[in-house]
Amino acid sequence: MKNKGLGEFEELVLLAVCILEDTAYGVTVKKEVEKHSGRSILLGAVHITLYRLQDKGFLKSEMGGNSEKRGDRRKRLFKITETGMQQLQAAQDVRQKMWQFIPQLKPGV
Amino acid sequence: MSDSNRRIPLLAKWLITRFIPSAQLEEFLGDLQEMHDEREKTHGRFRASLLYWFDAIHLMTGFTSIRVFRTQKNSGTMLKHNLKLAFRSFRRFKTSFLINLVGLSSGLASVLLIYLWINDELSVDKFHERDSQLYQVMQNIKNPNDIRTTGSTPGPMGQALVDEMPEVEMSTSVMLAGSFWSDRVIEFEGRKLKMSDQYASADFFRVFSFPLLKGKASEVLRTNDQVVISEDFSNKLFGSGVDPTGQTVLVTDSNKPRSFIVSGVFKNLSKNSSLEFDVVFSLETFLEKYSYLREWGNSDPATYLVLKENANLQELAGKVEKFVAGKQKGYRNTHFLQKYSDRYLYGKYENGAVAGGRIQYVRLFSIIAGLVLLIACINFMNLSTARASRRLKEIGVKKAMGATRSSLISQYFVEAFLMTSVAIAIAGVIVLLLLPAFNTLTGKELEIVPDGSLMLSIFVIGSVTALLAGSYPALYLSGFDPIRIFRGKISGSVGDLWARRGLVIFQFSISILLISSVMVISSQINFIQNKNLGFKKDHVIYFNSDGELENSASSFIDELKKETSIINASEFGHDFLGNSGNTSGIVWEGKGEDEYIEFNNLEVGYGLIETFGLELAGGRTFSSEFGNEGSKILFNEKAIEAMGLENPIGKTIRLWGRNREIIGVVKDFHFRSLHQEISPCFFQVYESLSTIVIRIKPGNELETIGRIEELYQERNPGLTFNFKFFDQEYDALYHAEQQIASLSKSFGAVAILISCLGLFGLVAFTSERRQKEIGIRKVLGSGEYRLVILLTRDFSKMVGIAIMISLPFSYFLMKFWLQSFAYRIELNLWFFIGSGIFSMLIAWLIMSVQTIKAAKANPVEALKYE
Repeated sequence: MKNKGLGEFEELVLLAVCILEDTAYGVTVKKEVEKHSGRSILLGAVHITLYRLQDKGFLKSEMGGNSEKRGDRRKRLFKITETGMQQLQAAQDVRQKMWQFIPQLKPGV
Repeated sequence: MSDSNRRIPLLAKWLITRFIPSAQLEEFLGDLQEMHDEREKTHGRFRASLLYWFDAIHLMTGFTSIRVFRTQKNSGTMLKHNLKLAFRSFRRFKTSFLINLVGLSSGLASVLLIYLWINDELSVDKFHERDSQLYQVMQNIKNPNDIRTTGSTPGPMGQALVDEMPEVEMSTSVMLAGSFWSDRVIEFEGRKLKMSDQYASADFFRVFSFPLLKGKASEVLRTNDQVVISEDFSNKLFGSGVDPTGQTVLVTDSNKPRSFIVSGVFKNLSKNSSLEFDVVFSLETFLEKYSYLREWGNSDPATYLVLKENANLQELAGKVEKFVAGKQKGYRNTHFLQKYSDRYLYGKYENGAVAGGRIQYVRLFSIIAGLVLLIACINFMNLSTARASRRLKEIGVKKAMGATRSSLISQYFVEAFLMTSVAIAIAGVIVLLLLPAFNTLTGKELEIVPDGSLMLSIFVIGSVTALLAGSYPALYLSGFDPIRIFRGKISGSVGDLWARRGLVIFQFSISILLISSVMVISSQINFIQNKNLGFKKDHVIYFNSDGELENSASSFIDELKKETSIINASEFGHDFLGNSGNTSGIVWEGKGEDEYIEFNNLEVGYGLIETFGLELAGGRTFSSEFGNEGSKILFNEKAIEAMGLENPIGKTIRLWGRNREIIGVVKDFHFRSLHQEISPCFFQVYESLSTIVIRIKPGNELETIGRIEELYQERNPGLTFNFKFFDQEYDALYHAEQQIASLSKSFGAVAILISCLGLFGLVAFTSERRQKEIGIRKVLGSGEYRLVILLTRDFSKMVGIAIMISLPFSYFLMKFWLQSFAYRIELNLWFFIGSGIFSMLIAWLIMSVQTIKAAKANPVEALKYE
């Protein structure tokens, strides 16, 4: 029962990875999502989502970039895949399309 | 910079390394580290660490390598669901919930109390470092008819065993406190204190682990002018905080003061020590005065050995058995070794071998605890299976939705575990509240120390209870066929009914067993306390003739006798509490060659026989009017009978080689506890004996005792006046039995209470199920009385069967218990019939609450929904 679609939080994480280009890993993704969405997110949630997206084939990853700051540990850098990009685009398209059909009425009237 | 310098929570980090798969470990630790450092800068160290923990735990639950959290079954949700169902069913079936709760928590509270008691019993004397190698030498004294076992051994034995047996590492010989005299006085700069003193050879503090606060175990007690005192005693004698080592103290013995140097202070004895003393002198000090103990033929001190670690115990035991016979010609007694820490629990000997002791009570109460808990578990089983019919639809629906049998089983176990946890919490509170009373009852100082072993035991007890209580309903309820449930075909098969009945019968059998035992035990105790002992034990006080009284006892007694509130006063060398000498050294006219009679020797002062109100069968008692009566003797009737003397008064016998004239015969009386039969005994008269006995007039006891204390203080200024009531001390002889009686009373009450609660629940349940039947019967004209009978009949039968089953058991059990008394009550059938009737009445009473309610209900209420 693998859901190939994108959840809301998954979409945010995927977008953050895109924004960060080559520097996307746990902490930076977390900060990026927090910055744009304005909510506070747990590191564990970010990691779980990253791995899930990787399982779905939307992300790929490699280890690299150790630094003193991390106690000489490497980080896992995530990158968006071709399918990931398509999925993101498709989600955006669906939304765009549906927006067009909203009658231009002021809400609440 | 390594992690340890970074001040991250190392425990959290360690946990992560344990629970996160290694593939992700590096990046996660890195992330955590990075965030921690940043947070530390902005929020401070504490919040950073807290958040580190939070993130770490969150990561662990998401990425754990533990299977439980990774299964697809989502058992967390299932657990939540089961808990919710359990709560709902508790709320829906309030009566059975309360019954179960009360039953399980009182059952668990009993178990916890008994656990604390047993734990304490088992820990006595186990604290010595060399416990596994620590042995005591025991002696079997061979009498013609039996073998008596004692801890007294020949004085030189300890040292000789060390010298001659390679298996023995070291030994100590001890004249135990109170075994020779008691309440002697020690003095420092005019301050006098009574002490409980013992005399030990040099290695005492090395053999036993009584830690020394001052002085070294290898140095104290090496010379005979040394003394070692306890911490408390030192504080009392020298003032607290003062280092007493090197100080000189005085002990006055036979009018001669002698000085000793304090060479050590030992830590106050643990309450788990069966040896009790507060001052230790060197054994040499004792042997100087009683030098006969240096010979192999005389026994008194206790000998303790530390064996080498790999010593062959059996081989050594073989060598020790006849060891003394090799030293002393014609020595007939044998010796054996017993582990020192076993002596407390296995302190009873028969025919020269260990034959139980307190361990029997430990076993008895373990069984009682198990039974009480079992009864409570049975309630849970019965009520949940009885209730099953009302939850059948729930089970059917679940099964139809695809619930597996195992998930249903786990649901009922969750219910049982939840119930047990609540019950344990309540039991804990009950135990805390009851502990002081329980301590008074058992004479212990139990306390709850929430350490690992206690927690573990509580956990184990709780789990066992939950498994036991939950097993039957879980297996039974989960086994239904859903199709039959929906067809309404299941209405309790005959087998289930019998299982439930069987459990009720079992519960009541146990309760009745306990009740009848309690009745027999209390009437035996009652019998003992009211039996005519042959002397008057009330209104008698006694105390040691210590201090100055050692020299002036007779003038003190004369002074006492002048008081109008004092009926009589005298001296006593022994007591009627089991402390008497014995000898076979009496020769009488017509004694056969092989004839051997053991006589008990009671050394008394003038007037003692009158003070205790002993009755004479003939002749007269000792009286100072006839001058010194040291050459006279009195026997009891048993002794005269045993010697076969006719017209004994005026005849002469030889005691220890000296002629004695029989001046009187005392009627048989119980000079020992009723565990033992009256045996032949004789009285000799002496002056200056160890105890002063006073009979006072009833009425103004307090005033009289105050007056006696005044007189005592005149002669012994500064010493505390320690007196005892004779009747209290006499009753204390049956202390163990009284404890057993009151403990089994309480636990018997708990057992019957829980059983009745269960019965109450079952009756409530059946009368509810039969509501319509009752309604119809009522409409058709059945009277309330007949309805009550109808509802009660079934359960009365069960209680009746339980009575039949338990009575033979309790009969044999009680017969066995009574055999430990030489004087005992006859086992009357009424004890058993009475307890049967008693439990039947209680059962009826409990049932009537429900049945009368059911029978009185308006039938319209029951029938209007049809």
